[in-house]
Amino acid sequence: MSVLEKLQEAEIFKGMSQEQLQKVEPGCEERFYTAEERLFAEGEDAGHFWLITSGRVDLRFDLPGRPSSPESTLLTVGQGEVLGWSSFVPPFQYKLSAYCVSGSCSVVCVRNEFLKDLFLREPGMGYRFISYLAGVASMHYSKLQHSGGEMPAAVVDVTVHMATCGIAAGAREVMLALTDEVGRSDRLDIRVNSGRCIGHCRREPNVTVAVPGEEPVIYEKMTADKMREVFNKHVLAGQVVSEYVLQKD
Amino acid sequence: MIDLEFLGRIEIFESLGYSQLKAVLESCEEVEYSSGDRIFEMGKEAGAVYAVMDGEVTLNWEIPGRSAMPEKAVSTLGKYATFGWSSLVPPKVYSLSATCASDKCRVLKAEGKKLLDLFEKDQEVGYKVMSHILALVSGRFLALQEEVARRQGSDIMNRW
Repeated sequence: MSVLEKLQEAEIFKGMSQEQLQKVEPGCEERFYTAEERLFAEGEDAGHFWLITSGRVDLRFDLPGRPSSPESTLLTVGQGEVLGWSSFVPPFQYKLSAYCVSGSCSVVCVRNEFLKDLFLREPGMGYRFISYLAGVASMHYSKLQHSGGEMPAAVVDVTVHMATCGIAAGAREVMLALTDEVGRSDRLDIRVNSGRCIGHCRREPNVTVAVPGEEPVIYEKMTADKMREVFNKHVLAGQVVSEYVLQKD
Repeated sequence: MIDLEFLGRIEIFESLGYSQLKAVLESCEEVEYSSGDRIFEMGKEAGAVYAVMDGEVTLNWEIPGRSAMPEKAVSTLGKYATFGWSSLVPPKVYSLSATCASDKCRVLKAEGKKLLDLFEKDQEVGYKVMSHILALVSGRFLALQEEVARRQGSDIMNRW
């Protein structure tokens, strides 16, 4: 399949005529990658816009002194999807690194300077193209908001302290009840954590509920039933269940 | 009253020429809110894009069943700042809630549909404005990405 045919198939170029796409073609270059090979790195000058024509690509953040791994993946994109909207937004630097994560990946990359020059002459093409990219950016934002990215300003953290002493006192049953309630609630802003012992072994299992803007509350001697009650009253309705709050020694 | 000079200072319209601003002005109206008034709500259909004329507006992530928490606002916006860009990009649903955070807020309101109709008619205007919208969405994505990376990275680094 020629580059022109690949452009014609891509959603971002839908609505553009063959004549218009022929003007894009000279700025295009096909590239091929193998598994775990990097397409571009976070912080590099964003000189290209990328169209994935086969395979899957992970967008990851880099951790200092560590090799790239799927653990730091924020988004995965596949065939027909696009990357590199940073090349149209100051300061024109990639904000994440992109890695091929299928056996092989093929892409069509287009120099952003070439596209910008073209869009100045053909604002209609520019309008369609940039509108599509804004839609992609918005969709990625929404995905990140609702998947790995619970909104930091408002995540309710519920931590079950599950060291050996906590588990011996029944923390596992408390955790099961909690995850069950979270699943039923259909709430995306609640994060469940397992934590370490906080030094109140005689009053375990302990659970900490941290609501944004409020002091964290530690509960003591929790059971599955108490957990369900705390979840419904405190986490969902904002009312601290005083009778279960940890007594200060 | 909205004048062309003000309109030209709003980030998403700053690349437009005089006649283009005049065309945009036809889609704009001025709306006033009092402290605590909700301008729009997260999850609702996004019908309009706004810019702050006077006062302060906060953008919040809402927890169902709880009131907005201004002290935990995702962003606080002052004069000329644009919000409500969701009305110009699919799926046209507000991704945050906007609340008037000062005694009074005067805001410019432009119906998304009217603007998109204008962009279809004058695609140079569409290209210029949507380029700024892309930058706004990208900035919002980046802020969220950094927070998620910080949390996720810290989990990975602290694992043992």
